[in-house]
Parts: sequence; C-alpha cells; structure tokens
Amino acid sequence: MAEIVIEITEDGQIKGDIEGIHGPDCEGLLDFLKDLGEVTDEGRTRDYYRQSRRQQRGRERAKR
Amino acid sequence: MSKYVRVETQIQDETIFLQALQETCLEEGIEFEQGEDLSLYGYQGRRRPEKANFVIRRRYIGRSANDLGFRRREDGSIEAIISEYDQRTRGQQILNSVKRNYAVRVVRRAARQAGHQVQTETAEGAAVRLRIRV
Repeated sequence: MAEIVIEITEDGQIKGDIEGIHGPDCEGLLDFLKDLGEVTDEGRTRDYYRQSRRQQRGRERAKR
Repeated sequence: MSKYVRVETQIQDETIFLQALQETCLEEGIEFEQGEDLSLYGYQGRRRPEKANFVIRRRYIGRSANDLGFRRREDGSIEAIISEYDQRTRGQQILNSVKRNYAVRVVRRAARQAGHQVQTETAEGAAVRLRIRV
C-alpha cells in the first residue's frame, strides 16, 4: 500500500516519508510540506533507485 | 521508504498559531495574555527589555521561570521569546507543545489543499503520526 507518512516530532518538526512507491512516481508527493518551514534535509533512499532500475529493465525488455 | 523530507516548522499563520496556543493552554491548565507590546518579566519580577504579543506568565511555568512570550515579526510570522534558563524547564515543554499543535494543524490543512485525505492520526508519546494513502 502506498502512503505518505508524516511525523510531527515532540518539538513540532515535520518528517515526511513515502512508503510503497518507488522511482520517479515519488517526485513531488512531499512538496506540500516544504512551504511549512525551512527544509533541513531532503533525499532519496536506496529503495528509490532499486525500483527505478527494475522498472528500467522492464522497459528494456519490453523494447526487445 | 523511498523519498523523505525534513522541515523545521516556522509559525507563519497567526490564526492557526492562536488555536495551537489555546489548545496547549487548555491541555496544561494555564492561561495566556494577548495584546500589543506586552512587557515580559523575569524570575525576580524585573521587567525585561523584550515585548510580546502573546504571553504565558511565569507563574504558570515555574517558581524560577521567566515569562514565555511570542512576538509578531514584520512579515507576520511569530517568534518565541524564551530565556536560556527556561529552555531547560517546563517553559520549553510548553513551547514544544505549542509548536507541535501548530504543526499538526498546518500539516492537516496543507494535505487537504494538496488533495490528500489523512487516513489515520495517532499519538506516539509526545509525537504525532499521520498517514495519507496515495
């Protein structure tokens, strides 16, 4: 199941994570949190690229 | 987890801030004052140089505490005025509660405006976790 998980920490900081979606489909899904303050960290985990490569291989197979 | 963002919340909406402050005061059983250029007082009852728009008086914070203030900046955002001493006392806990209540409200609103629906909202200790299905 694909979800955005948001944690509001004890001191009111915001942590947003995407679970269950990989690769470029994630892009932009957390943007709505960025206007709420100063972005202190942002990035992609290994899951993001792993799925991207899998999708890429699938696309390459489809071309053949 | 495939993508993440970390945001240091800034209090930019005074209406939502006021709701968060009221919520904290209700939870803590304390009161606040609202006005223009309210003076802040230190632990010995001495007036401090800072002025604020919202104040939780030191009697609600602790015996050796200073007043906890919130000041409206020129750009409309709100900044907290808390002494170094009170950053280690209940004053900081009260400030954290206001910031947390504010953050939960603005996240709910931002999610709604982005077309998302919050599925679950759970308290985990002092933190709050929201889940949005996409």
